[in-house]
Amino acid sequence: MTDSAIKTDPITSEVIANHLLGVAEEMWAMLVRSAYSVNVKERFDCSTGIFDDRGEIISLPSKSIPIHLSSLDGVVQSILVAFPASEIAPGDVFIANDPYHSGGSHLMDYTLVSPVFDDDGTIIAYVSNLAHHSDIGGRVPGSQATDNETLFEEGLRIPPLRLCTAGNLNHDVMTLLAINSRVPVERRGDILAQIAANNLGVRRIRELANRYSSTVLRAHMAELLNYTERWLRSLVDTLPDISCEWEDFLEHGGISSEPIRLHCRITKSGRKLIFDFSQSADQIRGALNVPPCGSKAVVRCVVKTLLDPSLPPNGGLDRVLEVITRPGSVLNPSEPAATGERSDTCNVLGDVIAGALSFFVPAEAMAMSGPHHGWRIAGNAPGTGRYFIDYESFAGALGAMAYADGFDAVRIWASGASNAPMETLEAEYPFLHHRYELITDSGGAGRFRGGMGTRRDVQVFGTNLQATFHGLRHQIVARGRDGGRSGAGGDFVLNPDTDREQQLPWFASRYSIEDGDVLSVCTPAGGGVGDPRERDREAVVLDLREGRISAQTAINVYGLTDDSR
Amino acid sequence: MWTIGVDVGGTFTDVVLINEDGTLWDVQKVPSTTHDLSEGCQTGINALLARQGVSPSDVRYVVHGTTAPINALIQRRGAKTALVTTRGFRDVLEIARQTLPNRYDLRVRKPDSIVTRDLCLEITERTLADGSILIAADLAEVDRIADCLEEQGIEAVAIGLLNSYANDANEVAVEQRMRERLPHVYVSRSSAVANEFREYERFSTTVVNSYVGPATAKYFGAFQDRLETTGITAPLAIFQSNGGVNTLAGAQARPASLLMSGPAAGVIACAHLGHLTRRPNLITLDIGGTSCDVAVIVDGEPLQITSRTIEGIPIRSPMIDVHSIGAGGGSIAWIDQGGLLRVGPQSAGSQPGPASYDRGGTEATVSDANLVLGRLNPNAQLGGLVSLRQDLATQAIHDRLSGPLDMHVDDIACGILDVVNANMARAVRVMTVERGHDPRDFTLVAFGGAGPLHACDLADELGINQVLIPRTPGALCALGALLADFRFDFIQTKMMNVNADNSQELAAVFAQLDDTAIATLADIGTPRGELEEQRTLGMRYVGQNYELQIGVNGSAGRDVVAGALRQFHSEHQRLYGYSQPHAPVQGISYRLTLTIPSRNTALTSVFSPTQPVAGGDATRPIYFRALGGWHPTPVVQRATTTFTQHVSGPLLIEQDDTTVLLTPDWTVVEDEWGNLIASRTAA
Repeated sequence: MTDSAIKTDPITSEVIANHLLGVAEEMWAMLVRSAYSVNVKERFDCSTGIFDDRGEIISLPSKSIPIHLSSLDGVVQSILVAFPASEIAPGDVFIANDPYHSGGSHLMDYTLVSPVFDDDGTIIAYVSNLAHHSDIGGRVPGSQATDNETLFEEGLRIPPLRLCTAGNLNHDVMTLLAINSRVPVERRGDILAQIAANNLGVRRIRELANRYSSTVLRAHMAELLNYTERWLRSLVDTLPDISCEWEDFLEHGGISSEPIRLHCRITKSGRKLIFDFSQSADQIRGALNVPPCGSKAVVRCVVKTLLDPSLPPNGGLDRVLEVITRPGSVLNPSEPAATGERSDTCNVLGDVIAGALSFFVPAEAMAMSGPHHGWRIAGNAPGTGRYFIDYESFAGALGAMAYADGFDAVRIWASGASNAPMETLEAEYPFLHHRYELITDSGGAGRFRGGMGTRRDVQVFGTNLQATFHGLRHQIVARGRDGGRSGAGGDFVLNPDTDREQQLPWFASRYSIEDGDVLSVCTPAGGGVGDPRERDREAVVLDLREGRISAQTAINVYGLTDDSR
Repeated sequence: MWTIGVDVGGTFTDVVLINEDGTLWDVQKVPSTTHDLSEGCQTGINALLARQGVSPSDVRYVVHGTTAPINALIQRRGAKTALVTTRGFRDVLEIARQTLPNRYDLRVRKPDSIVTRDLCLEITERTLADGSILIAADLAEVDRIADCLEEQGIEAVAIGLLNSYANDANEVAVEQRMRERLPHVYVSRSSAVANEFREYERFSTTVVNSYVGPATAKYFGAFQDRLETTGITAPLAIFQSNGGVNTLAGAQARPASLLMSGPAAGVIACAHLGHLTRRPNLITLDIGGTSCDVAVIVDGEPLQITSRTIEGIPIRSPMIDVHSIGAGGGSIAWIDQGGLLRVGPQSAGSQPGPASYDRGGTEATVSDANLVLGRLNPNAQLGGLVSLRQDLATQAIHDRLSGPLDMHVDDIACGILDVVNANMARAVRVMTVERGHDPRDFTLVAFGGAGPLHACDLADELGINQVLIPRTPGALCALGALLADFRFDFIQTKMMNVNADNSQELAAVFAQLDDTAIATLADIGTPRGELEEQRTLGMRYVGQNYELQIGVNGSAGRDVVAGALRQFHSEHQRLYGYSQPHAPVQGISYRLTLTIPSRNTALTSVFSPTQPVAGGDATRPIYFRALGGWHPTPVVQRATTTFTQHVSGPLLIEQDDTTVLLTPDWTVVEDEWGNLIASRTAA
C-alpha cells in the first residue's frame, strides 16, 4: 500500500504530532543531563529534531534554538545524499558539520543523524541532534573569531561520515574528533551524550511505528507537513499584495572597513511569500558570512513570531516561504569563506526581515533589537595549571513593539542559548564576578521602551590568558521606530572604573590579558517605539523608581514634570 | 486515640477522621469557605467528631494539606518583599536565564515579579566558590537597609548571597542582624531554604519563600484558633510537597516546601493503596474539571524531583514529581488554524462551565462529549446542578465543530475524547517513558471526579492492563495527609571527587548534616531514636552538571563508597545508555532524610460513604467505537452493588463523587479493601 492510499484524519495526526514532539523533547532532556561542557549542560546550546525519510523536518521542540535548524536541516539532507538507504544499517550514527560539504552552518555545531528502520528494514524517519562544541581546534581557543578569514582557521571540518556502525562506536573517529579539540575530555563526553540522545530517539520512533504501522506513521508525517502548509497559506492569503524592503548594516566585518549591508525585499506572490536577499553585500573576509540555510532559519523564525507563534516549525513552512540569496554574497558565501560568527549576522538579519514584514502586519511592527555579545576566555588556571576555555554569550535585548515594551536581557530572533550561572562558572573556572546587571538608560526611549542591555564584569586569574570576543551594534545601534529613540550600543572594556581602564574594540581574537584583569561586557539594548513624551506617566515614574531610567532621562527625554510625579 | 486529616480544595474541603487502631475511619465533605478557608475546616471537623462521638481531647494530632502558599503565589497576594543580595548582583532575578518567556510569542510577558527592582538591595560582602570568605558582610550596611525597609513598610525579606551554598556564614550574619532590627518582619535566607548551587534558582526559591511566608503563617494561625475553639489541643502538623509531614514551626520556616502540598497528598494515599494491595508500581491519575495530575510510584515510593517551575518561577525544593496539564472535564474542544481538532488547555471552568451545564457556556467541552456519548448521567446532581442538558451539549459540538470537521456529532465527540486522552497519555509518558519507565509495568490508579471515566481508554492508549479505582476517589487527598510520615530533608552541596580513598571526607559531610539535623530536631523536641534515616549522594561524572541520586547506606566507609560508585555507573548505563567506569566521579549534593513513620498505616477497614445516585437508569445506550456505535449498556449503583465476581464491560458504575466506565474488553472485581480492580481481557 502506498502512503497516499492511507486515509489520515485530523485526530490521529494530532496524536502522532504530540508523540513525535515528546520524543524530540525527551532526546533534548537526555542530551543536556548527560553532557559535559558548560555550553551544553548549563547554557543549553543544543537542539533536537525529527525528520521524515526524505529529510524534511517534522518535529522541532520549543527548547531547540531556531538558528540550529539551519544546521540540522542541511546536515540531514547531506547524509541522505552521501549515504543512500541501501548503504545504511540500523544502529548507524552519522556526524557532520561542514557548511560547504555537509549542510552545516558553522563548524562548531556537530550534528548527529540516525536513521530509524521499521521491522521490514525500511527507513521511516531520521532523528537528529546538534550540540555547539565550545572548542573544535582552529586558530583561536573556542574556535570562533570574527577575524577568522577562512573556514580552515575555524576548526575541524567534518564531511558526512559514520560515527557508529550498526550500533558500535567507531573509536578511530571519536579519537580524531577528541584530539582536534583543546579540551578533548569535554568533546568526548558531549559526543557520547549526543549518541545516547539519538539512540533514545530511534527506540521511541520504532515503538511508535510498531503501534501504528510504519505506513500509517509515514502518511501522518506527510500530513503534518501539508497541515502546516495549509495553515501558513491561509495566513498569507490575508496579507496585502505588496512588495516591501528593509535594510540595516553590520559594523565593518572582520577584515574590511566598510559597513556591511543586509537587505531584504519581501513580495507576496500568489499564495507564497518571497524573501529576496540578493541586494545584500558581497561576502567578506571574516567570519560574519551566513550560509543560505542560515537565512532560511531566520525567515522561518521571524514569520512564526510575527504571523502566528503557534505555527508548527516544520518543513511545511518552506513550501510557502521562498528564500533567494545571491551566490558570492554575505548571505551565500563561496568556499572557503569563514562562517563562525554567522549567529551575530543572523540577529541583525532578524531585524531586517521583521522590518520588511512589518509592512504586511503593521500591528506587529517593532523597533530594532540588541544582539548578544560573546567571548571565549582561555588559559591555565592558577595552582593546577589546568587548561580551560570558557565559551559564553550574553543577551542583548528586544526592541519595543507597537503595543508593549521590549524585553530586557533576552536572546533575540533565531539565537537562544541561556547564560551560565555565575556559581557554576566560579566553581569551574578561575573567575570572580564583580557585577551582572541591567544598564540604566540603555533601553531606547519611546512610548514603548526598548529592552535594556546587560553588563557583566568578571575578573580572571591564571597564566597565558587570552580573550576572543565579538558583538555587533556598537556604532550602528538598534534604531527606534515612529519617533522612538535608539537603544544604547554595546561595549567591551578592560579593567573598568580603575586607572587602568582601557576601551576594547568590538571584536578581537587572542587578546592577551593579565592575571587579575577584569573584563567587562555591555550588551546593546533595543530601540523604542513612539514619542517618549507620549509614554504613560505611571510607566515613566515606575521606570525611574526602579532605576531603569535616570532622573535626567525622565525629565529631558520623557518630559516628566513635578506634576506628573 | 484519633487523628484528623484536612484537605482544602477549590470547591470542597474534605476532612477525614481515623481511629489509630485502624478499625474506623470516616469522611466529611463540606463546601470550601473562600472568605476564610479555616471556617470550612472547623465545620467539617465538628461534624465528624459529633457523628462518631469523639471527644476533642482524644484527638492526638491534626494533619493539614494546604493550598495557602500556592494561592498566595498564583494570585500575587503575598507580602511586600525585599531581596538583600551581594553588591553588583541585584538583577540576578530579573535577568534570570536571559531567555524570552516564550521563544516566539512576544505577547507572553515575563511573570509579574514578586520583588520589584527597587527592593533588590545590595550589601558589600563576598564568598568564593570554595567557601572561603573574601569580604565579610558589612553589618552597618545591613542596619541602614533595615531602617530603609522599615520605613517602606516591608513585610518580608529574602537574603540571597552569591556562593552561600558553599559557606553560609555571611548569610547567617545578615539574617541575624536583620531579625534583630526587624523583629516583626518575615526573614529567610537562601542557604536555609534551598542550599544548592545556581544562584538564580536558589534566590528565586528564597524570594518566593519570604513572599508567601506571612500569608502562610497567618492562615495557620487562624486554623489553630479554629482548632482551639473546637477544643482540640493536639498539635497541628503540615503536609509538604515532598510527601512528608512537618511540624508547624518547620513548615512556617520553609513555606516554599508546601507549594505542591495539595496534589502530593493524593499520591501518598495511592502509595498506601499500593502497599495494601501489593502493587508496588503505580501511575496515579487525578482528573478534575480543569487539570489532570499525573505521578508515578516505583517500588512503593513516589518519584521525587528536586526542582520545578511554578507560575514561571523556578522553585528548588524536594517534592513529589506531579506533572499537571490543562486537561479535564471542562477542557474546551476547538479547531486550530490548520484545521486540526484540539482540546484544552483552555477550560470552561465551573463558570460558565460546559455547554450542558446550561449556564451560558456555548463551547464544546470534554464533559459535553462524555454526555453526548451516554457516559455521564444526565440526571446526576453535580455540585448543585439539577441536571445536565444533553441537547445543549449536542448543539455546542454541532455548531462549533461539525462544519470545519465535516463529521457526525457522535464521531466528533469520540474524537474529542481521543484527543484529550492522547494529551493525558502524553502527560503519563512524560512521567514514565521520559524517566525510563515502561507504563505497561504499572497499574493505573484513577481518581478525581473524571479519572474513573477515562481510565480504561487511557489504559488502552498506554498498553496498561490493570486499573485500580479507590472506594472514595474524592477523599483521597485528606486521607493521604494522614497516611504520610513525618519527614525532614537536610541538604548540603559540596563538590568533591568520590572514590574509596576519600571516604573519610565524604563521611565528614554527612556528619555535618547530622549535626544540623540534631540541632533542628532539638528545637522541635523530637527524640532522634524514633527516626528512620536515609542518606543519598547526588553523583555525576566529572564534567557533567546533573546528578543521579544514589542511596548511601550506613556511614560512608570504603566499601560503602565503592558500592555507591558501582550503583552510579549502572544507573547511568540504565538511564543514558552508556557509562564510563574508569572516569572520575564527583559528589555534589548530600542529602539526609529523617522520617517518623505514620501510625495510621494500620488502616485496613472498608468504608462506604457513597449514596446511590438519583435518577439512575438500569441500562443506557452508550457509544463505543469498538462496538460499532451505540450499545445498550448496564448501569449500576456503587453504593448498592458488590462486585464479588468478575463483571465484564461494557458497564457504567455510578457513585456520588464519580462515574466509572468499564469499556468492552475489560472486567471488574472488588478487592477486600473496597477498591474496584479493572483488568483487560484482550491484548
